[in-house]
Amino acid sequence: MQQETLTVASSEPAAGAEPEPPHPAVECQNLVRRFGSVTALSGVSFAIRKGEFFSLLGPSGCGKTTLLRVWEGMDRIDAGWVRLDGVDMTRTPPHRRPVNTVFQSYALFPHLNVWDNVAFGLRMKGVAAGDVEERVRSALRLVQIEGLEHRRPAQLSGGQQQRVALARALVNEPLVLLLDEPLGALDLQLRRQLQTELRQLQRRLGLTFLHVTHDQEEALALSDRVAVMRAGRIEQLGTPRELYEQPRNRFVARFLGQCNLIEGECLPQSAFDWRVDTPWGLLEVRPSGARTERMETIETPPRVSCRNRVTLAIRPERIQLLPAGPLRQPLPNQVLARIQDRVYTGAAVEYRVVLPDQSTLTVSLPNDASPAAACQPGQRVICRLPPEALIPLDD
Amino acid sequence: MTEPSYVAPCAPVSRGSPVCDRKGTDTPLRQGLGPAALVCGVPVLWMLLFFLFPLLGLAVMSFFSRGPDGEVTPPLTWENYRRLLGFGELGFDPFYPVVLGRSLLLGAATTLLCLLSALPLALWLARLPRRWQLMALTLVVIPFWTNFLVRTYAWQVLLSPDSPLTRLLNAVGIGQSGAGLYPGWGAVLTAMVCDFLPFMVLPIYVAAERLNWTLVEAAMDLGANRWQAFRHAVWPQLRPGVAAGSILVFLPATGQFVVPDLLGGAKLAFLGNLLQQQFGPSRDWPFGAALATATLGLMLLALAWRARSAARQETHRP
Amino acid sequence: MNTRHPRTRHGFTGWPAQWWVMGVYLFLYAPLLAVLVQSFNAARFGTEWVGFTTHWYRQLLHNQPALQAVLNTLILASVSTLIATFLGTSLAYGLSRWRFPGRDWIERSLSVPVFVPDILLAVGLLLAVATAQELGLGLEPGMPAMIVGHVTFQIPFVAIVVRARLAGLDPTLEEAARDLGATSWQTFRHVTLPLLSPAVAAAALLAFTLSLDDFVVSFFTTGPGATTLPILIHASVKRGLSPEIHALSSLLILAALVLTLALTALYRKPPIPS
Repeated sequence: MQQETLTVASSEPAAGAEPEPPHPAVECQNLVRRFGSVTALSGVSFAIRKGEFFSLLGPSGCGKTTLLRVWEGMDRIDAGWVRLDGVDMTRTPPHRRPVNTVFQSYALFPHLNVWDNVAFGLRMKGVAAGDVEERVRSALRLVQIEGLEHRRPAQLSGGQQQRVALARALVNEPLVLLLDEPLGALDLQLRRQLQTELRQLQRRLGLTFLHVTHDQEEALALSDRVAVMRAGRIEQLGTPRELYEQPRNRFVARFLGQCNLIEGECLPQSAFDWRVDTPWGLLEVRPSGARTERMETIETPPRVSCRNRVTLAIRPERIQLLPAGPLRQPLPNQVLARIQDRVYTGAAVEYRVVLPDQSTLTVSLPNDASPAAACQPGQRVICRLPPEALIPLDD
Repeated sequence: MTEPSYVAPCAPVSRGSPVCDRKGTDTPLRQGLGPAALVCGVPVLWMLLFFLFPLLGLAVMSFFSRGPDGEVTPPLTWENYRRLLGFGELGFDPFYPVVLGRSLLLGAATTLLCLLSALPLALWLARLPRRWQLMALTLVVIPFWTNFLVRTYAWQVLLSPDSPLTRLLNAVGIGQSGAGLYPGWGAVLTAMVCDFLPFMVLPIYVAAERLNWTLVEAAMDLGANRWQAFRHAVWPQLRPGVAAGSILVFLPATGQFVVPDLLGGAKLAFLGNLLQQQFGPSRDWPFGAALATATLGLMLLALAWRARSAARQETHRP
Repeated sequence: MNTRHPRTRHGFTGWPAQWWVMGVYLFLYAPLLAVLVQSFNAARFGTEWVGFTTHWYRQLLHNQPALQAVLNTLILASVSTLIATFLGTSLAYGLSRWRFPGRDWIERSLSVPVFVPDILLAVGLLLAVATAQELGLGLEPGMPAMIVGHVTFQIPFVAIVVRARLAGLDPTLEEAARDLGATSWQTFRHVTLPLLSPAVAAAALLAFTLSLDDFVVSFFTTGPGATTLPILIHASVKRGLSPEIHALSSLLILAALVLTLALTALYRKPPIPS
């Protein structure tokens, strides 16, 4: 790939060349924001590394937009502090912060054409005209909208507007780029395409992105790390893989994709080996959070202690279906079930199976030629729930 | 560097869910007396100096007396207000209360006639294609570019007994033969409606422009006839505009003095003429001030009442 | 937002409504037509039609007081509109951006001067000018006092129009400007003001129109040497207007028509850059 340079990239040494950066690009501690009796943020803390693609994920009204506004400097906070590149910015007005935003509605200036929109920030800072010209040109090239310089925002398609908004922010070489649901208004196809481009752009420029979204798929696909928010708090923070495979509680488990929840009574064997008694049989569980990453197995002690009642989560695609032969009961982690419903979704086949106690599980199998993918409603099968796929939850 | 190699396998649950918390719907007002004083200071001061303080001054002056040469002199008194209520030096004379009543009648009649003419016009305007709308709307305002004295005088010409218009009206049986509407109530009302019509049209047009016509279709679909559809689907939506227009016509019309002066003949006195007389030829400023203060008081009462009923309407309709 | 359905008929746009509307327009323009007709009437006195002439238009060129009055009227309207547009716009902007003690009070009473009959305003101004004279503050009856008076009734109109537009403005645009490094002033100058300009122009036009139409406030604040057209007309109206005034008024109507049609055409031009 040809070396793309926004001047930003050259003025700052590439993230990899430096040892460990002395301080995070973005850091905030214990942020609190109240609106009357409503608490929009109740003690949010996190830090974002330089060059990281960081997402704030949560449903509407979870406080993520408020958090973004605090970062922009558009909203004050009642407690806590904010640092950018190690410098306290808690009270700095928006126009003096080295951050720029791609707004959800793009907020392109309707009275200015594309060129003037992109040049706006540089002109406000009094950058010399020649520099402005050069930097705007390279920003437009970067987002591939050359040739539209003289159009007004109203004459652009949604995707083009999005690119202009991106260029308008990037041209200022921000320390952190804030993205507020940047792809929310686009249709699925275009959204997929721009997701990829956005990710490549971020990698190439080595910029720090703080991205806000309610779309869990987008957050997982784009981010290095994701913070899942609910009701003004961060519920869990981690890599997409950690969040998906080791959700801490019901909310996170359900918010990131589909999930089966199983309740049972916990019979501890050892810290790394539990038995959970459910209405339809015994389950072996490895609560240790053992997982394989970068070719080595990391064992972390279980977060959840084995109390009386415990909730287990299992992803639909981790459940295996076996043909129901002569019953080899009672084997741990296997249960006899009947297929109630079959939904064909193209890439996968989704089954709803009924267990002996009339509870149901959702099972998702790749749509391959295996016999398991061809089960029909009414058929009896055996569900196998692998011990390492069962995740104990906090609540 | 490796891309996270998988796409989440689960069906996206939140696709198409309502877009996240909308920000900025309530404009964030910044606290700040300093910048506000810089920006609003001069206009506010201006309105205080040349609008509020003079009116307060009038209120104060209304308790003074008139000296022999028309000067304002100290003995503080209620006399001006007693006179206003009809208790003059010569015993009870209902002249001033009658004038007040006549002015209110004039205001009310003007408002009603304006409403009748403006309502169809505003609805028609709102249904025009947009590029004609602006033009048609401008046509309503253009007459204002000639001073209203000129228009008033033109009505005097048009409605005088020997004018072609009067003869035409007489020919089709309107009015007595050989008698024009001028001078008299008829001429005054005609000119007043002509003067104040745009003030009624514009607010109703604004309401009509935002009118939700699907409600009308729904009403007709449910079997309402035209009148019922208007009554139940259109009128409630127009009400705020009608209220604003009515007050915008009624209050100034009540205080109008030039039109009655020019078209009413010598016999018809209104609040406006009376006021003008006190400050002009009669040079009785304290009494004029009392008249002005009383008028203003009544108007503020009307405005306050209207604001309250508007607020009540708000709470009824979430 | 736009819920018009041009194809459906609701009976509110049928021929009775259209006839009514035409009637209303005719009614609005009847006095103007009368003036126009009279301006070509050869009769020196009275309104009886005697014959066609353009004499009064030629005569007008030599009518020094009338021309001076027109000039005074235009000066008064222009200057007061300029001042009121500036003050009213800044008032509207301040009200929509900052919270400060007395703000709600100002907001609520903003429309009161609009409703108050002009004669009350005029009488108040008369008192203010008299007081200023008494105190030797240099505000004499005449052009300065008239300008003050006109600005006073124009400010609320301008503020209300601009305020409505400000309320409809997407606040994220200003946030975007600040996000891009613009100071408060730069944001106002480069984003808010350009977006506001149609409303400011409309407000200025309204203020100008109101100034031209006013007689009462001028009447109470005028002084020697500051005769405007309405004052001149009022002085002669009881005797009947001279035909030259008819000619003058006709010219003004013509100017108004041309100007507004030009403005409409200008406004309609879609903002497509080269």
